[in-house]
Order: sequence, then structure tokens, then C-alpha cells
Amino acid sequence: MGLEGVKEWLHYCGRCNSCKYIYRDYKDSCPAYNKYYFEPYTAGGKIWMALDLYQERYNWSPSIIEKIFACSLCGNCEIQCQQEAGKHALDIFEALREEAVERGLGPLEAHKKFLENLNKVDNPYGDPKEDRFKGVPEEYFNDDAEVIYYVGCTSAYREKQLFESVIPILQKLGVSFTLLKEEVCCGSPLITTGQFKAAKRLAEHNVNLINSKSGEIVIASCAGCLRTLHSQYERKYGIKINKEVLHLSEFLARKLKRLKRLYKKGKKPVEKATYHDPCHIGRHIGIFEEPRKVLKSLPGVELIEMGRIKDNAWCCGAGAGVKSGLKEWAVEISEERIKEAEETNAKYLVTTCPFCERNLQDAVEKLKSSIEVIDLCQLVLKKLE
Amino acid sequence: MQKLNPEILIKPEVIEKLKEIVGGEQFISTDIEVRSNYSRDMTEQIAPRLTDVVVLPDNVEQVQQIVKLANEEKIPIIPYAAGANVGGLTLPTERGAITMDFKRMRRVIQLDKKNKYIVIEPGFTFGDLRRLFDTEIPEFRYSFPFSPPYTSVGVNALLHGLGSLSVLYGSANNFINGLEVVLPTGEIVQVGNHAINRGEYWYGREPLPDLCGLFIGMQGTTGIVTKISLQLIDQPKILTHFAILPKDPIDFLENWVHDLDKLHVCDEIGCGFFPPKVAHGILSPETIDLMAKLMLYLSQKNHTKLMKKLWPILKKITFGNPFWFVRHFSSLIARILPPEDEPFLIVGVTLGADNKKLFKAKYKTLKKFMKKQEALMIPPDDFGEMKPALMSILDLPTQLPALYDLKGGGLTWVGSYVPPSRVSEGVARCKKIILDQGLFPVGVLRPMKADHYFVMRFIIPFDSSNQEEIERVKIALKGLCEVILDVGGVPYKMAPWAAKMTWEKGDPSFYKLLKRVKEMLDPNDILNPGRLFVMSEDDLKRKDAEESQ
Repeated sequence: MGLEGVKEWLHYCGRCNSCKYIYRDYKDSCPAYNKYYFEPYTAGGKIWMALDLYQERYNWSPSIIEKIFACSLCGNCEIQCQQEAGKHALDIFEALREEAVERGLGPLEAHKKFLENLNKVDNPYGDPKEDRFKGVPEEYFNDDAEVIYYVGCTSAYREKQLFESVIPILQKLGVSFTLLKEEVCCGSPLITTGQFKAAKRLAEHNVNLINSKSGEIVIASCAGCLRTLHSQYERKYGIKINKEVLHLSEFLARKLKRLKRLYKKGKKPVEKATYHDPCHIGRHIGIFEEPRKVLKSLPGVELIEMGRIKDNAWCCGAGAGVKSGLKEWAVEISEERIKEAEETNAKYLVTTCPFCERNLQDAVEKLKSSIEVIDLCQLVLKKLE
Repeated sequence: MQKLNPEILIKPEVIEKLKEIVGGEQFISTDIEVRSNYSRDMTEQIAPRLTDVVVLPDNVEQVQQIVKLANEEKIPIIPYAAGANVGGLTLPTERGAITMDFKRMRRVIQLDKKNKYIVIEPGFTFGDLRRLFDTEIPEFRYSFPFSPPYTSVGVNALLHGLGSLSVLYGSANNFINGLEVVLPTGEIVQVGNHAINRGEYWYGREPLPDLCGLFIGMQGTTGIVTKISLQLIDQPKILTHFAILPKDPIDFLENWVHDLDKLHVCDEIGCGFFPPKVAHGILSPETIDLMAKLMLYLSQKNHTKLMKKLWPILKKITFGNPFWFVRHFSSLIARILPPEDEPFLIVGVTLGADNKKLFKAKYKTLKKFMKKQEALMIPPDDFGEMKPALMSILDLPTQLPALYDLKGGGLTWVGSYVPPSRVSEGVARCKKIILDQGLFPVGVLRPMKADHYFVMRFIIPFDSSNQEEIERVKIALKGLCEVILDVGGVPYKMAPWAAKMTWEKGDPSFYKLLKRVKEMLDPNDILNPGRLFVMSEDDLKRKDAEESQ
């Protein structure tokens, strides 16, 4: 497909530049524009670059690859663009990535490693396949369970604290759940870096696996996995999970009544928390209220919002291969978010994605900030009896 | 589509020096995709060649060093703030050029609330200014143009832009208190009263000889403005917009818009003249279709009186949302209305006052006037479900979704200031020219500075992927320029072809004087060459011969 698949949208952008600002708030919206300034790093400029490339006005080159991959595909530009054509900006950026890969010029070196690792061990980190659920009790694998918990590679191999807090919450809620022993990476690291074709195998495996289970609800605690399971498989490959796919925050919001009964009793000093919307579940799917609902329900927690939230949230900078391919810049993007969070005087910076959590935490360490980055599930667990 | 020529004429050692000046390779680019991006814009104009290099200076010293180097090497410089002008003003010329992008120079240098001005850098945008007003200085306002937020405030003033306070103050150059300019030969000069008080107060340019004029309206050909002081205007406590639907657009422009201005009650009188197709991005198609037909109905059958009677009833039965009725029953009403798809005129009027009593008096005066003119006056609350969409246009800076939301992404214009007495004739002729080319006219019309001159600007959205349409656009633009000059007007932000037509029409002594100024300030013709100064020696000789006959 590549650019051929989006050609009808390449002629729409008149370069009003609205993509660079939050609509009617006029704060900056694009991390790449903030860092690199030059027009082809911005949404409008990139669309014109895509048009040039489609029309073969110049040849593909390494500098073009740099510009294509210096973007976390956060989608803030799509929100700010007030034109219908703007709703196709991410399609165009993904098409550029796909075409770069097809031509053998992309993705970045670090992204190629994902594919290598995934082909070997079904996770992008290259960790042994058998370690995915190492030490996890057999009782967590129950084919008859009502709820299927898709853990994802980052929670399984790196940010284990998330997985370790989800399980006790589900247990305390009395939810009948199962993990997926044969779970493989959702494919998001490949899909977002233009390696669509290679990710098809993973998508088909996961869809078949999930559809073969009896549970009616699939939950994911990782925003990237959630988006992939929720909509990317269908969008990219025309295959669909035939169950309801929910983010853990949505699931908890549904169980809020029961959850509240489990909260620790007694008056506690109020702690301020602010919430960072991960792009994958926020802008890309529209889950804004549920995490906030859960957060607000927590005893002794007061939610204080940052300046840019929900649709307008400043991206953490980890997504779409930026964290692996452009490490320093990824943390720089998060630094801006940490500074914004600090303005609220919150104790906690809460998020709902292990990838955001990692990157925000790296920025906290770099800035020596005292704010505590924490996943919503970890905070919920802290408040349970 | 032809392949672009990647050749770079600027010597590699010069590029190296530029890199050192701007502080490293992250602030300079010779990548072809960057050069291509900076060598095109939304208009129909095609740059004869790519710019050679794009640089991002951070401060006036860096600008100065770049200019000095360019002057030594005789390299053109194209100043670039946002690239969103509609005159093709940042397109490179035939020689290998340096495009100087001011994105890093986006700071507020001084904000003096007591003396009511702000000193800003060229990269400071209307979005930045709006945010400043919203968060820090709500007591002030400025003349916001009818343009998207990412356009330069300073450049708008330097190019005689019009804005929301133009009815009272004229074009935006009237807000300029003073400038800091890097001359093409590299000197940094201060122009305005701050030159005397050594930068302490940038409060005005009178009573000194007004050298700001050397740089205003010059399209960046005589100096690079690195700081600009602009007047801030007091924000009235009450401010309300009204939509006025005149029964006959031409009668409105010919006669009573001038009487309306004479009332001295309006902070803003802005007229939009557009066909339903353009408005579709803003309002629902049914509403716009109906509004167009309604206008036609009012104008052709003189049924304004009936409509005025019907309006309060509609308001009542639709719980204050008469356009709901309009939208839902459009097909029914359409049957009794003429089917012609004519452009229609809608007038936005703003009233402002510091207290209720004054506002009421202004409102009463306006209402009485509109009654006499048999025009329909719609307060914002009557717009019902359409209010957010309309207010998003009126609350400047705007996004203009409808203008951009057309396939092709092309947008161009010939804007002009014309004598008020000729505007209605001009509008009628321009409309015909555009319609004759199968394009659709979008007009922006506004009395300026208490009706001393008038904006007549026709915007043409077009499909940039359709070469045949582009050719028709070019024919229409030339026709518009001819009409403008014929009714005694002058085009603004003029593209080179429009400049040529303008100088051909005008008294050669003006152009010669202008050229002398340019040659004095920019002896090597490095700033934006090929732009405003488009008359050759042969052209001038021929003109002289014609004049002497």
C-alpha cells in the first residue's frame, strides 16, 4: 500500500499550521516541531514531503528517514487540525514508514532489532520466551475464566510491578480471570515502525488464541497493547477479536462500586495526583474519563489536572519507536511533561501505560524531580485493604 | 511531476560558516525535503528554483552575522516567519538563496502595560498573542486578522495586514511604535522613539521623521526586522458580535455600509461574501443552502419585512434556535425559493463598551439603523446550535476550516485597498471574473480607518493537484488585479506579477524613488530579490517614453 494507499489525502493540506498548536489554547502540540523546528518535522510539512515523494520529485534518502521516524505518532496534530483531511495525518505518517521499510531504507537500526527478537522469541526485548510467565502460578491459566488478561511484553518482562498489581486487584474483586500462556507480543512495536507485514503473524496468533477462549472480555493494562488489540488488527489486517476489549482502567471503572467497598477505611491525609493520558488509549481510542473516575474514587487522593489533558495531552515521547530509536529525545519530551505535572504540586503522576511510566520515570530521574510516577493500578492496590 | 534540481549554488565553505553562526548543524539544513518544503506555499505560484539552505537564527547578533556574510557573498536572503502568507512572499527567486526561518525568535522582549505596547520578535504568532491576552493581559486587545493562529504578528503589521480593529485604526502598520532592523549591509538600527531613549520605552514613532516607512510594505526587501513594538488597545468590558444580513449586497456596499460606519458605534464591520460551497465546512449544508436562498429571496422579492416579522415567531417556536427550523425544513422552504446558487453577503458587526449603559445606547443606535435599512440583525444567541461554529470563526484568530477543507489545499488571492466610493463596482466586476472562470468567489470586505479606504479581497480556494484549474486561477487573479487598479485601488502583499502590473499602471516617479531607497539600503540586492522591484531598466525606459507622449 504505502503512499499509494493515502494518495487522495496528500493534496489536502493548505499549511494553515494549526497542527502546531492546541486548538483555541495556543500551547504547543507537536514534540517534533518543538525539538527540530524545520517544517518537514511537523504534520503539514511531513504531508508535503509525502506528496513530493509520491510524485517522485526527489529520491528517498537517510535524511528523509530521520524525519519520518522523528515522530511518536501521538496524533495530537490530527486533533488540532480542523480540516477533514487532518483526520488522515497518522495514516499518511504510517504509510511513509511502511514505504520506507518496503524500500529497505527504514526503520531505524533499533527497530530492526525488534523484528529480529520477535522472530526469535516473540517479544521485542529478546528475552527468553519461557520467561514470559516465569514463576506465575498455574492457577492463573484457566480456560473457563470470564475475563482474559492480556499482559503484554513490557509488563511481563520489564515493568513487572504493573502485572504484579493487576493480579491482586482482580483477585480482590473476585474476578474470574485467565492469562494467556501462549500469548505473544501484540505487534505494536512493528506496526508503529512500518513493519506491518512482519507483525501479521503475531496478530493472527493473538486473535486466534483469544478467540478460542471462552471469556467474553479481554483486558489489557498496557495502552499500546490495548490499542493494537482494540483497533489496529482490524485496521491493518482485517482480523478482529470477537470479544469486548477493554483497558484495565475501563474495567475498574465498571467495577467501581465493588472496588470502593475494598478501599482502606479511615481518614487519610489528602495526597494530590495528576493524570497523564497515554496517547494510545486517549487520543487514539478516546478513553479519558474512566481512569479519572477511578482516580477520583480513591480515598485520600485529589485529582489536579495539568494544563494539557485528554485530547490535548502532551505526549510522553516513548511511542512509535522513539524510545528505542531516539532515546535522549524521548526523555526530553517527557521532561516537558514532568515540568507540567510539577506545576500542579501533585505527589503522584499517574498514568495507565507501562511505556509512558518508564519514559516519565526516566525524565524524573534526569530532572531529579520529587514527583512519583505510578500506574493507576499500583495506586489502586495501595488503597485496597 | 518534474524532478527537483538538487543543485546548491552556495559554496560549501559558506554553508559551514552559517552552521557556526547559528550554533550547530541542528539549526541549518540543506536537505532537499527541507528545501522543497520552504520553496512552496499554498498559492498557485511556483518558485523558479529551490532555496539552497534554511537557517534558524536565535538572536539579532546571529541575524546580523548571516546578513553580513550573505552581503559579502552576494547571496539572497528570504526572511520566513510562518510561510502562511497568501502572496507567495517566501518563495525563493532564481539565485541560490538562504531562507531565514524565525521560529527560534519567538520571544516577548518587553511588555509595558502602562505605556500600552509590546515588543516582540518576528516568530511571535497570533496564537502566542491570543494566549498572552487570555492568560496574562486580558485588559488589552489587538487587531487580529482573519487568519489562522500560526502567522506572525510582526510580519502582519509590516505588510499592512487588516484585522479586527481596522475599522477604527486602519491596517496593522498603524500599530507599529518602532523597529529594530538589520540592514542588508549588516548594521543593526533602531527606528522609533526608543532609538532616542536607548530602548527604555518603545512607545511611539512621533515626532521623529518616520523612518519606519523604509521597512513597512517593503516585503522584507530593505531590512530584516528583528524586533517590533506594537500598540496594545484597551479591551472593552462588554463585547458582542452580531450577524447582519442585508437584503441587497451591492446596495449595502454602495450606500449604507458608509452610513453604518458614520454612526461611530461599531468596533468592527467585516463582510464575508461567499457561496454556499465554501460555507459547507462551517455550517451544515442544509443551513447554508437555506441561508443562501433566503438571501436571494430577500433581495429579489423584497420580503425582508416579512422575514423580520417571521423571525421572532421562529425564535419562539424553536426555543431560541431559529436555525434549527431553517435546517430541518430547508427542503420544504427550498421549493418556494429560487434555485439559483448565488454567493451571499453576511456582515459581522462588533459592539464594544465599558459599561452597560453605553453598550445599550450603541445597541439601540445600531438596531434603529438596521430597521431603517430593512436588514436582518441576528444577535449571537439566535444562532442556537450554529453559535459555536460561528463564534469559532469570529473569535480571532480563526481556523477558517471551510476555506482549507477543500480538495487540493490551494489558496490564493489578490487583496487590495480601494477607495470606498468604488467598492461596490469592484465587487460586482470581481465576482463576474471569478465566476466566469468556473471558480467560486470568497470576498472579504471591510471599511478601514473610519471608512477612509476599503478592503476588497477575493480569496480563491483551488485544487493544487489540478493544473487546468490552476491556469484558470491565474487568469482570474490577473483579471482581479486589473479591476483593482481600474477602480483606483492598490493590491497589497503583491506577488511579483501583481507588482509588475501595479508599477506599469502607476506614475514611474514613485517606483523610481522606491528603487533609489532600495539601492541605497541594499546595494547588492540580497534581500528578497525579484519580489517587489520587478521593473527592468528597459521597462522603465519604455514607461518614460510612454509618459512623455
